[in-house]
Amino acid sequence: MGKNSGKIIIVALLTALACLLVPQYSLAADERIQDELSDPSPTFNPLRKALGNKTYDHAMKSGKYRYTGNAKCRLCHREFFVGRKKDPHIYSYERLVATKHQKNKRCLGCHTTGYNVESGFISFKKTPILIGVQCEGCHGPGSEHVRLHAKDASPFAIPRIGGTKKRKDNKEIKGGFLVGADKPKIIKRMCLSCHTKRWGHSFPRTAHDFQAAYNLYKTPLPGDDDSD
Amino acid sequence: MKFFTLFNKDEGSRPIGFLRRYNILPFATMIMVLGGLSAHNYFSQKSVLLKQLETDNINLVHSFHAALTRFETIRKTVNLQVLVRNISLELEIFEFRYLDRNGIIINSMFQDEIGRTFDRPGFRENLQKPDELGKFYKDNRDMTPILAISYPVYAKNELAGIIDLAVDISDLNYMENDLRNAAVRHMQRDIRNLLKAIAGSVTTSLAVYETLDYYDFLRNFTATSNNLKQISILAPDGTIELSSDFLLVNSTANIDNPARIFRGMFMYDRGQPVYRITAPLPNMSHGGGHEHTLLMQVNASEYARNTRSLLMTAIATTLAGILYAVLIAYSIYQVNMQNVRQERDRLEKEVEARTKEIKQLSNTDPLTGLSSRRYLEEQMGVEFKRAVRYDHSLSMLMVDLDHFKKINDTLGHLAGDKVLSEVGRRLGKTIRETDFIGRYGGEEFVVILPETPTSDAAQIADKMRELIAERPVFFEGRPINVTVSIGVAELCDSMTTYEEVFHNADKALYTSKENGRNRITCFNPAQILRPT
Repeated sequence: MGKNSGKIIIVALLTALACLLVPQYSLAADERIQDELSDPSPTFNPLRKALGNKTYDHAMKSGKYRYTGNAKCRLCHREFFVGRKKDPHIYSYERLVATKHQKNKRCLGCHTTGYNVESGFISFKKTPILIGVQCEGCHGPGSEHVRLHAKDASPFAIPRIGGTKKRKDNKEIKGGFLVGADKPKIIKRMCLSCHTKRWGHSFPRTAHDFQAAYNLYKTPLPGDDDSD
Repeated sequence: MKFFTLFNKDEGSRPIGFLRRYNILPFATMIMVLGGLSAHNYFSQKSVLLKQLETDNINLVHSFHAALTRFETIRKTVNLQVLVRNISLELEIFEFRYLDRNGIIINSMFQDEIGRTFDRPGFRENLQKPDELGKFYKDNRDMTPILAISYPVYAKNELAGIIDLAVDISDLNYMENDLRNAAVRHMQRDIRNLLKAIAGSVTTSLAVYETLDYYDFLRNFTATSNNLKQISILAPDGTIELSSDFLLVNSTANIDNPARIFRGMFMYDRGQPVYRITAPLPNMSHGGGHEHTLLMQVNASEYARNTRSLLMTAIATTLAGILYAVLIAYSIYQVNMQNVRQERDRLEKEVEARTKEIKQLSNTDPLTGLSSRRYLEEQMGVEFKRAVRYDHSLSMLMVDLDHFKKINDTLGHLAGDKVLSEVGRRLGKTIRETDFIGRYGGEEFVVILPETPTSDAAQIADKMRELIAERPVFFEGRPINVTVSIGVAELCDSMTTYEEVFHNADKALYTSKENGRNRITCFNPAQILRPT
C-alpha cells in the first residue's frame, strides 16, 4: 500500500508541475511552430539526412530494411522499452495532437517513426504502431536486426550449461541497423537532424551539453522529466 | 667388501647357510625396498588409472546433464516453442504466455520468466474464478495500456493450461469514443479466432508432451553410450524415481548419502566391476520441489583388468628382483667359497712342504750337510735288518779326524768347523749312491756300505783316507793338514743288533789310532789286520 500511495503522490506532483509549465511552453511552442512553418528548408526525412543520399538510397533499394514497431524490440530489450516509456520521445505524436498538427507532413517527419520512409509511418489509421519516436525512429528500420538476432537471443534458444554463447567465428554479429550503436557519428547526425537550433538543441537537462545528453541515452533510463 | 667377507665367515657350511646368519638383515632390507618400490609404483599407477576413469566420467556426467537439460527443454517447449515464436515475431501481439493451471509460466515470449509464477493482479483474479476465464480485461503492462485475455485450454475435459495474451491498445487513446469501441470489438473478435486456432495447436503439443517419457530418454542415453550400464535419478531419501532399468524404479538405492558434489567410486555390483558415480542434478524439472541426485553405473571391467595386470607386474617385478639378487648373492658366495677352498689347499700343501723340510733338516747335520746321527742310526737299523733277512753282506766304516782337538785349540772352533765340513764334503764325494754317510758326533763320521764285503769296504776306506790326506784344508788362506783314521767292520751271522757291527768298527778304529793314525784297520776278532 505504501508503494502505491508513493506512486500516487509522485503522479500528483508531476501533474501539478506540468500544469505550471504547460502554459509557458505552449506559448513558446507557438512561436517556434510559426518559425518552423515559415522555414523554407523543412526536415521531411531525418534518416536520409543522417545517412546521406547515397547510403540511404542503396539501403532502401536492398529491401532488407522495414519498420517493425517497438513491441518487437521489447522481446529482447525490455528494460529499454520500459525506459523509453518514461521518455518524451515516445509521446512526440501527442504533442502534434495537442497542437492539431498531426496531419502536417512537415511535422510528422520528426514526430513519428519512419515517416516518408518506405514501410514507415503513413497515417495514424494505417500504421498506429509507429506513432511517436520509437527505437527505430533513431536507429532506423529494425527488420534486419530482428532477422540476425532472432535465433541467438530469442526466448526459444536452448539454454547452455555454463558460459554465454559465442559465434563460431568468434565475431560479434553486426547490429543490422542503419544507425546502429556502433556508428556514433551517424547517430549524432540523426539526433541533430531533428534537434535543430529551433527544437531542443539546447538540451536543457544536461546543461546544454549535447555529448552528455547523447551519453545519457545509452542507458535504459535516461530520465522522465525532460520536456522540449 | 664387507658383504663379501661376511660370506667368508660361513666357510664350510651349506650354501643356504649364508641366508641364516649375518645376511638375513641385508636380504630383508632388499626385499622390503623392492617390495616397497613395486607397491609404490602399483598404487601410483592405479591412482592415475582411477583419475582417468574419474575424468572420463565427469565428462560423461556433463554430457548427460546437457542431454537431460536439452531433453527437458524440448519436452517443455515442444511445438509451443514454434507457436510462441511465430506469434511473438509475426503478429502484432504485445504479450503471449502459456501457463499451467496453477499459473506457472510454461512458455513465454520472455525467456527469463519461464518457470515463474505469473502474478498480474487481473490474471490472479481470473484464476480464482474459473468461470471468468476466457473474458477480456484491461491492464497496464510495462507502462503500456493493454487488452488481455486468459484463455483456458482443455485436454481430456480437464483444464490443462491457460494462454495469456495481450494486445497494445495505447493507440486507441487517440480515437473518438465510437471508433474506439468498434475497434475494440474488432480486436476482441480477431483475438478469439486466433486463440481458438492456437488452442488446437496447444492441445496437440500437450499430447506429444505426454508421450515424451523420461524412461525412454534414460534408456536411449544408456544404450547409445559406451560402457554406461545404468542411469538412475534419486530423490533426497535415496528412492529411485527414474531409472533406465525399469525394475529399479521405486526401490531404494544403496547409497549412504546422496552426493551434493561429484563422487565416483570403483566397486563390484553383482560380481561385475563397475564405477559408480553420484552427482547432483540441479534445476531438474521432473517431480519439482526437491533436489535430485544422479546415480550412474559405468562398466569398469577395463579398469579392473588394467589394475589386475598392474598388480601382476608389480609382484612379478618384485619376485624377479629378489630372485636375481639371490642368484647374484649366491654366485658371489660360491666364488668366495671356491677361493677359500683353493686357499686352504694351498696352505695344506705349504704345511706339508714345510713339514718335509723340517723333517729333512732333522735328518741332516747342519754343519757338514751329511745325515745326522739319528737318521744314520735309523738307516743302520733298516739296512741291518735287510742284510740279515736276505743274508747279504753289510760293512761299516768309522772315520775319525786325527788330532782334531789340537786344531780346535790352536786355530779356533771356526777353523775346526771348516775342517769338519770340508772333510764331510770330501767323504760324501767318495761314497756310492746306495751308501750312507753321517756325522756320528764330534769329529767322528760313520759310513754304511750295504751289499759290500770287508775287502771292498777296505778299498773305499783307503780311498777316503787318501782323499783327506792328499791336500790340506784352507782356512783364512792358511793350510791345515788333516788326516783321518778309519775302522772297518762287517756283519757276521752271529750278530743280533747293528750295534755289534758298530762296536766292531769302533774297535778297529781304536786300533788304527793306536797304530799311529792316518790309516785304516779291518776288524778281526783274533788280530787287527794291517793294510798292505
